[in-house]
Amino acid sequence: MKKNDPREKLYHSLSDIDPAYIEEAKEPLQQRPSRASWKKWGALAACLCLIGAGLVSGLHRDSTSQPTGEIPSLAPGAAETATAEPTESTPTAHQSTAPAENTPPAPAATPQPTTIPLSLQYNEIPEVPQAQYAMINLSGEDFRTMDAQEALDTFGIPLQADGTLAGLSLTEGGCLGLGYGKFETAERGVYYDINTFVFSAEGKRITLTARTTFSHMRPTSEQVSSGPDDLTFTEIKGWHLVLFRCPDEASNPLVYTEFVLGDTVCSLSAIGLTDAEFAEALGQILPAKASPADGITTCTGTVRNVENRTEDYYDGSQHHVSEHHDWLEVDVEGTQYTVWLPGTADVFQAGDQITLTYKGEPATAYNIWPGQLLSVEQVG
Amino acid sequence: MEDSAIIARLLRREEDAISDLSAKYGPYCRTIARNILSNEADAEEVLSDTWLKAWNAIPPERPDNLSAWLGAVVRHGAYNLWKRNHRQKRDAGLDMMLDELADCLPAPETPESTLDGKALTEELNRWLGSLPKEDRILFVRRYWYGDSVADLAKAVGVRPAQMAKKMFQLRQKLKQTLERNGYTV
Repeated sequence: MKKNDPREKLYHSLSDIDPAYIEEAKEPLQQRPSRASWKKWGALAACLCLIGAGLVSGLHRDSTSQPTGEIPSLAPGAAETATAEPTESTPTAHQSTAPAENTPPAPAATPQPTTIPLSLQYNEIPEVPQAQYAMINLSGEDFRTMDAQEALDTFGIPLQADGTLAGLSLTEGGCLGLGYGKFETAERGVYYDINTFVFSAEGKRITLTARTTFSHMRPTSEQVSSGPDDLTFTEIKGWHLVLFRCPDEASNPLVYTEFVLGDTVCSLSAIGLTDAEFAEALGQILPAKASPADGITTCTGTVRNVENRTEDYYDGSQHHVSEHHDWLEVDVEGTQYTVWLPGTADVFQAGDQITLTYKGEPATAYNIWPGQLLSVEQVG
Repeated sequence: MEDSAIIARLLRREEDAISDLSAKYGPYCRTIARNILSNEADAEEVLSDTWLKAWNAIPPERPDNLSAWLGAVVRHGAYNLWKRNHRQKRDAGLDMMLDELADCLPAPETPESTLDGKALTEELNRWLGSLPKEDRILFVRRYWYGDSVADLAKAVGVRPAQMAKKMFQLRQKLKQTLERNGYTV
């Protein structure tokens, strides 16, 4: 194609036409009567010509109102029927298990996606440590694919891709719908590697998420407002883990926990599992660890930053959302913890030395929640 | 899932938003990519790039019409891939579409003004609005969604040659409209 090809310009201008016309074109086309049908009615009409033109006219109207045929629809979720056979074997984004709207229901055995209503925000931009969001741009060119076993090994997760987790098999997973892998360049190193491993069978589903990038994720006010009733503790192989129980978007009861394995931050959520089965899954992943029997940790750190402000924004539905942030960012032996202190964070200031006493592992990686915080005191 | 919910999840940087997006719009986007590229592997590549583009672009973008926005992303992605592969002549779908679109171009010798891309889109919108609904749907299905002439003929219940003639007439109409208004492209 030559440079500045006007066809190219026309093609791209067409791309941006009024969305109303794009929506309209999803409607089925009016099917015209077939030639055979026309001939049939035409022949009959010719015969009836002898009887009277008015009657012929009526028959002609009938002939043009044949039932329309089945037209492939371009409505989202239904478009697969409009073309050749689907190719669901390619390991790309479309391997999601969520049934599309307006499509026939998936087979009963297809697991529903686990949706964790715990929105986490990224706050680990080395250049801007106080930033709340990491709006990184991902380039498909940088994506390095791995198979499931390689991905598990990379994250130091002691599971076999062809094995089971609490009796469930690995059925799907990957990074941003691209299959297992990580975004990496020689200059930036690994800059995004959040991978999900889904183990499921017959209404039971475990979702294991692992990441080494963006490990310091900040929970939302939705989590912070969770009272002690929503937060419980369990002890497995010396790990005192914080469990959250909440409904997923389909109102299924969901249990969720996070833990750190070496450099890898993991989250584990489950639907349809008993407590014993969830504990079994955790037991398969966690190595034995020595820790205080009561799970209570006391440590000293330095307040690096105090957040005490209200953030207003509009969500995708243009609803006004107002979130109040009250937390301390505390350096504890080189690791930064976010300590949630609703209503009292402004008592402290940057540079303060404090002693923290809390129960369990940090509830969401490097976050210590009100429900597990036993005390925070200024030293000296 | 509602589009507004998917967009909200993208704004919150929730990874499941990509699954939601691909579950709802995967078949739709794949159809457009396949229509344009006529090559399954390339269509899948465009689809993956589309989810990445959505993840990277929302926010700051907040599309009013997610379906049309994604379709446009697929069209742009398919075009770029086609351009990259063009020497290999692999993508008959877009080659044919572009050759047909050449029929719509006004004669270059008597332009009163050259339309920029946005003005051309506005002109196209006006022209589409002037068409009978059935003709407008046919044009958009052929040149936006990339449906083949044969598929359109089947959907309408006419012979492919009749549909090809119909599409030619529509292209000539567009060309005449652009010429009448003194435009070139």
